Amino acid sequence: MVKYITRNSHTSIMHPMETVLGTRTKVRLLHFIITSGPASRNGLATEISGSKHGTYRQIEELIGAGVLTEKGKKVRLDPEFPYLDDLTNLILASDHYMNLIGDVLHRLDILFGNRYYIGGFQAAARTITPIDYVSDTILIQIRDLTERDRTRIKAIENISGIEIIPLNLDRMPLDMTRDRIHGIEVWTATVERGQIETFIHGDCTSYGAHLALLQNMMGGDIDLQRLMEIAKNAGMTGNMAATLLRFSRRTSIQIPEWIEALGRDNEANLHDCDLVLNAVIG
Amino acid sequence: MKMIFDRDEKTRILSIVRSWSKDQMTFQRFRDIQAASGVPARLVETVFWLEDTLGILKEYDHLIMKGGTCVQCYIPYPQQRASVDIDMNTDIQNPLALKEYLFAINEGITSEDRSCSIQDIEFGTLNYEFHDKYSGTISFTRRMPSRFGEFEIVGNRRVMSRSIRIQVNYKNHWMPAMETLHRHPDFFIHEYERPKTNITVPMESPGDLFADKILTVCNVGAFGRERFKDVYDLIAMRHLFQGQVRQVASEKLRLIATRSGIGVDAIIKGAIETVSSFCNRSQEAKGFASMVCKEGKERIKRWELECEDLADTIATMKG
Repeated sequence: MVKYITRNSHTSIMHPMETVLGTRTKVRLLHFIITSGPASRNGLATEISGSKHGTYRQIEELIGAGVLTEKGKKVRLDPEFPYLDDLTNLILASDHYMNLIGDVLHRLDILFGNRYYIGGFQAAARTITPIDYVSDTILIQIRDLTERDRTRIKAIENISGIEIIPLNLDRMPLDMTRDRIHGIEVWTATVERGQIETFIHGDCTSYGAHLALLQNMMGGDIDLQRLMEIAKNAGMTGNMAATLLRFSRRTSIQIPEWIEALGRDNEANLHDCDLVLNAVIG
Repeated sequence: MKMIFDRDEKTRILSIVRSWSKDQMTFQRFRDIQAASGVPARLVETVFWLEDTLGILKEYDHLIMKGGTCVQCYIPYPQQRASVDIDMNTDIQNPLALKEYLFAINEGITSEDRSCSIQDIEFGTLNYEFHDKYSGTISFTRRMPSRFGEFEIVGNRRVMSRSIRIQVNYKNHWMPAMETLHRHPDFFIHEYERPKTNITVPMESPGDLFADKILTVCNVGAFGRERFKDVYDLIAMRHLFQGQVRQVASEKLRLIATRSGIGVDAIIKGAIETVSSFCNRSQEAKGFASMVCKEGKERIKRWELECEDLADTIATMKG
């Protein structure tokens, strides 16, 4: 039975893994030596961007714990360490843990069950392949978002390096569907709702939002009537109509007359409209 | 502890009912309808409450009525049976969104004064019951008055009331109905009493219902249960099974068969087996006859023949 250090107590037995992996520096040191081989103390401090004093100290602790050993001036893994294979496997395998957007979506689905949906660009672009544009940001709308939820999301962001924008939902929209994004089944906004969110919540650039809209229109993946209804609720009917009109004029896409009329009385972001028109139709 | 309501409280509880006038909801009137229709008065009362509850749900166009209560709306009054709950399909896929949608109905109920609280017991509002993830259903109940000695337990109190169950299935979101009809829910009580207003609700077509009931009685895969009322509903609907109804039923079965990976012929075979096995249960069927109107009771007397004819009708759907 391991006894842990408690405040005002002399009990001082630590779990062995606290000494082996107990700090960020140690994890980085071990990762570097496992993937790159033996290195000098100086070299290690430079590679892991740590202070010399701190790095040296933690190297000595790892040597003391039997994980590392010295050969000449270089430090390397100690082949006598009984858990060397397990430690190596753990560090190498976890390199790929949650580093894909699909992994992150799967994790979010497990964490939030039925009370969320993926919106914005990921929802809007799920049936298209955006031309020369990538956005790994995930916009997730969560019913009754709590601080605990935010902390969990932050942990996923830290592991994956993928930006996640959590927003609070006052009421679940009725039109969300269970659909695949990046191969993972999640609750997702309709293409139309996702498209409007791209213009509001900034989970992609304005260019990305315009690009998804044009490609969705050209692919027949978007219901313009429904798009305008959601735009109305978001207070952006005029701008959306003007954008659709701009796209319609430069392509063969037909838009209803009422949208055309509304578009003539409003202004679109001409710069981004024209940029994506050039990218898509040349 | 048994709760006693005084005269004013009883009047207040009855005032939440909008589809019927007080004169239509008397104990004696229900007894009269029992004598004329052959359906027990307590079930007659339930059908009155069903119609009032549909009056609340009528404006919620994501809900489509289905099931036994819906079947009764398509068959002649004298052959109808009393149904005690409301089953619905919805195109809302997310269960939490559906739950919120159903809770929002209470706002309408309260604003229209179709609910009341008597001695801290709520009448008229929708109460969440449970979410069955396996079947994909969310159930609510609506507590209504009862004058036939039926009690429900609320906390540690016994309340004279009857709750109408409303069960909404979200797993069928991909096809809430092949064909949705907007119709007046036409129950057998209308032969004796007309509601104050004629409401219209979205409901499954007879073709949809026929297909649903075939799936209900076929013991194949995840489908199937064996209940007299399902076989009876098919018997009572058999006269409708032609033309458009037949076409819709066949198409719906085909789509569901494709989705579930079970062949249409296997479903038909399973349904025929169940119906055929019911042929020999005419004695048990007589017990079920108590909830059926008079002409229906006559059909139940010919149970064996009716089941054979039904099996023949279902057999014509084989691919």
